[in-house]
Amino acid sequence: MKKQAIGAYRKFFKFLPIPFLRKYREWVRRAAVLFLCTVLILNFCACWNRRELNTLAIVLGTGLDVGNQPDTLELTAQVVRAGEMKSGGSSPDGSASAEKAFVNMQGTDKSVLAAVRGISHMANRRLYFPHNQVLIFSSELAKQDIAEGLDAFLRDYEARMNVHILVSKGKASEVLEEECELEKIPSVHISGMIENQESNSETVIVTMRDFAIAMLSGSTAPVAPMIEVHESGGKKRGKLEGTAVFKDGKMVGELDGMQTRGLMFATGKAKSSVITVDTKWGQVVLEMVHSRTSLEPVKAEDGSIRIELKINENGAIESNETTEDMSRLENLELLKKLGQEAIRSDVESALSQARSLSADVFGFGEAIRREYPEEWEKMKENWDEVFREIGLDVQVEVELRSTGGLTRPVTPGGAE
Amino acid sequence: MRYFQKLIWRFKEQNKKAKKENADEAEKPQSLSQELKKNLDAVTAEFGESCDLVVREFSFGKDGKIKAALIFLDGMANLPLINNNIIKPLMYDSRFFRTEETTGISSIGELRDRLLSVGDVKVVSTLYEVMGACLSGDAVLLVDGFCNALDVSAKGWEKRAISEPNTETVVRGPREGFTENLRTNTAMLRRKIRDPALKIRTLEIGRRTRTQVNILYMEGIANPALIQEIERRLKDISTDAILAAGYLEQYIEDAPYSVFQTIWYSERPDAIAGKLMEGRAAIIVDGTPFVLSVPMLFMENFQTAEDYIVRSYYASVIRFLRLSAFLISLFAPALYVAFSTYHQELIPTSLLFTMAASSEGVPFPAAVETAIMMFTFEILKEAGIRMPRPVGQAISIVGALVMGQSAVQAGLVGAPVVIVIAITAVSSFVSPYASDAISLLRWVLMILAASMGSFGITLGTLAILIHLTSLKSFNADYFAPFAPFRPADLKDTAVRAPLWSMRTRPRSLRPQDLKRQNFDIPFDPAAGNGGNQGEKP
Repeated sequence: MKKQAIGAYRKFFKFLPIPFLRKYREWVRRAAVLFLCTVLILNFCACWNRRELNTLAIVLGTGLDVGNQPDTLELTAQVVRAGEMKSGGSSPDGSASAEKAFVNMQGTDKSVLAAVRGISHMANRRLYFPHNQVLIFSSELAKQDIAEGLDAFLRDYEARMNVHILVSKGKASEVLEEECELEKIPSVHISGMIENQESNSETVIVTMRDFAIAMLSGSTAPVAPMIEVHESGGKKRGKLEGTAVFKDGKMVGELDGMQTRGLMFATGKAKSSVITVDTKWGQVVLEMVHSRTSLEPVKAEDGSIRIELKINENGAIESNETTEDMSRLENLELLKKLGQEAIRSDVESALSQARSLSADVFGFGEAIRREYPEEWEKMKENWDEVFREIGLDVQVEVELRSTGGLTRPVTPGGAE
Repeated sequence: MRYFQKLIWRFKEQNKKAKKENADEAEKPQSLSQELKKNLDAVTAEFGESCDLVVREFSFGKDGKIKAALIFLDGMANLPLINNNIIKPLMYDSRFFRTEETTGISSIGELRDRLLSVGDVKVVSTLYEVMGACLSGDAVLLVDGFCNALDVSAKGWEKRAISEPNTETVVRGPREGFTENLRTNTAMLRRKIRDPALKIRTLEIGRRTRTQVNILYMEGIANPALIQEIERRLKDISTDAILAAGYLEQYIEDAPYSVFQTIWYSERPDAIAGKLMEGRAAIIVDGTPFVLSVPMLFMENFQTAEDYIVRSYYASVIRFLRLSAFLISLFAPALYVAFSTYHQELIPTSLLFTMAASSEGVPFPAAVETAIMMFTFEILKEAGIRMPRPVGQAISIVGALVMGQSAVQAGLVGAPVVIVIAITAVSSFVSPYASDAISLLRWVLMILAASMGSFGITLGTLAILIHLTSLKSFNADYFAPFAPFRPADLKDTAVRAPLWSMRTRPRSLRPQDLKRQNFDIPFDPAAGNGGNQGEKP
């Protein structure tokens, strides 16, 4: 083996004079090994691309609309103007600076990637997607088909999976034009807004990854938060409202805020929520700070499958607008009951809406598939019908751990 | 590599041959003659017209019958000592020298034994020795009628006082530093280690400079093989001039082509004493206030005398800080270039805005920008060292204001680059031993990063690690205790464990006596035995 190797190497280095070879055999061998290693290292690695920062157009938000020509879509890329970011928001006289810190570039073509290429005809910089924060589909486009836009962004190396997905009621490009005071760039504002929804659980927080997982499961209906542009105080502002429900790659309907909260409770994603209950004395606001949900399919004796949904909420009294002392035990029991009712009604309203859309937004199908795979095989063909009829037991437990910083309400003379 | 090794070997062989020939020539023993005049002629012939040679001819003994001459070099010898302890006893006291009223003295040794009130007197018999004695500041007494002479130690030249070291300052440690004078330095170490086991071997290196070199080690602690190896390497040197310890270092280091130094040095006696007690050897070169210590391990780049003086928590934090500073000063420019030209997706979005904003309108690519700033920094650093002190102010103004702020304002470079280079520069001063290596490797890594991104940085880092693990310093593994892994030695690396817990000397140095503290007595602060019982009962 070794001899063979030496022979091959002699042949290979024939151009070198023999005495040189003999004298520096070891040295030449090492040099050759080093050279080979270098060549292999430089070629056997992933692609990379050198690009200077000032040749990039950093995309922070992307909007997809239906194009004005048939069978086309319009892509809006929100590109940050870094120079304006630095120069501060307002000019010395207090008014907002004349120059916006972003620019929206639009391209219309038959596919997402073609539209991206189209923009490159109009810009001296390359669109750079890794820092994309939001991907907004207009509901018009969502109702036609969402799959193509999604695939392009999922397949691309540059785009990230943690992009927030939204559906706009109007045009997506208009949402990206919204005016916001706290941020210089609408996309940053929108993505911050979504992340801030954890505190009320009335909007779903969906990244591209979540959306893709739901879509690929086949039975679960993907959802996405909806955004709408309102005119208030002479300014166009974006506002999150409700949830878009998808089925078979198309948007089929909406859930409103309360239904969305029901969905969040049912899927255990409600991290924190505020529930207002009406007592005979007036309104009391409960804050749910800790939530535990278990969603379990159970098989009844007759072989039919029911879903058991147990929701455990832990909370506190956030505000008491009545004059009644809510720290009393019987009042606490009452509040718990009212809280349970409120949550139950949210969940049931979400369920009835989902049933009317025959879209399994809760992931019941997935749960059954995991627990009873054989039964699932039988029912998955006509899951839409099964879902409409499937029995659901909702058990809600509400625990109130504290009455907040006060025990008795603040009433005139209440200190006595 | 093998090729280079061969080349070096050949050089060494040639050197050896040359040395032998030279030695034959120079050390041809030309013995002294009995006639004083002949001897004096020979000496003056050797020195030629050098005006600092003093030949003091006189006669002594009863009736002044014995002719003699004292030769020394003006400025090198201690004149009061010569006057009071050599000339005065001979010319004045010898009148009462009774035994040889008729015959004179019988041997030159008798003068030493009975007349000269000087501590160190030797009998020498060759011209070469006479010259050597003169050149090292001694006075040589030649007496007519004898074929040997007395070498009277009268060294006394002007020397710098012991002062606080400039390069390694500490807050709580001793304030004295080595001086240019070899004997002062050995004395300082003797005062730290009052143990006869502290051995000092002497060598003379440099055909013409005849520089005194001392090897210090603790007998019974240091590995004898190490001392042999040092002596062998020192004896192989056949240059004509050793003017500073740095000269010597380059002749005896293990990896002359490496950017990393494999010989440690210090200006502090306490630091060197610590090294001796760990089983290392110290090499003192006359005329240099820096004492070398071998073997050196990589971690010594980050150790300072202060680490052992302050308590171990803080010392460990500082170690960690120093290691991080080392990594920052090595990788910061490379990482900046890699991130801003290849991996923009790894930068947090809001930071990316800031970086993109500052790169707007900057004419150069990030790599060139960084290179410009690194180069500028190196120039400033060099200027700061070489410049006469009074103009030092100018550099800091030009450096800080013009190079930093104005360059950014003028849009020539981006502000992040200035920040990166500034942190790099400051960090590189935290570990002064490694700063030479860092300032070279930084460029290599930066270029790799500019051409291949973080992949290039990974390659460069691997190459550095492979190189470090292959290095040796006087048969000790340079990258120990990490590779080869010796857990017991880790106590003095990234953390500095409490002194009482370091019960053994570093195994990587292969000391003869591993035990630093008594193993038998368990440490118990409550019992007040202090743990450190020493080796002797």
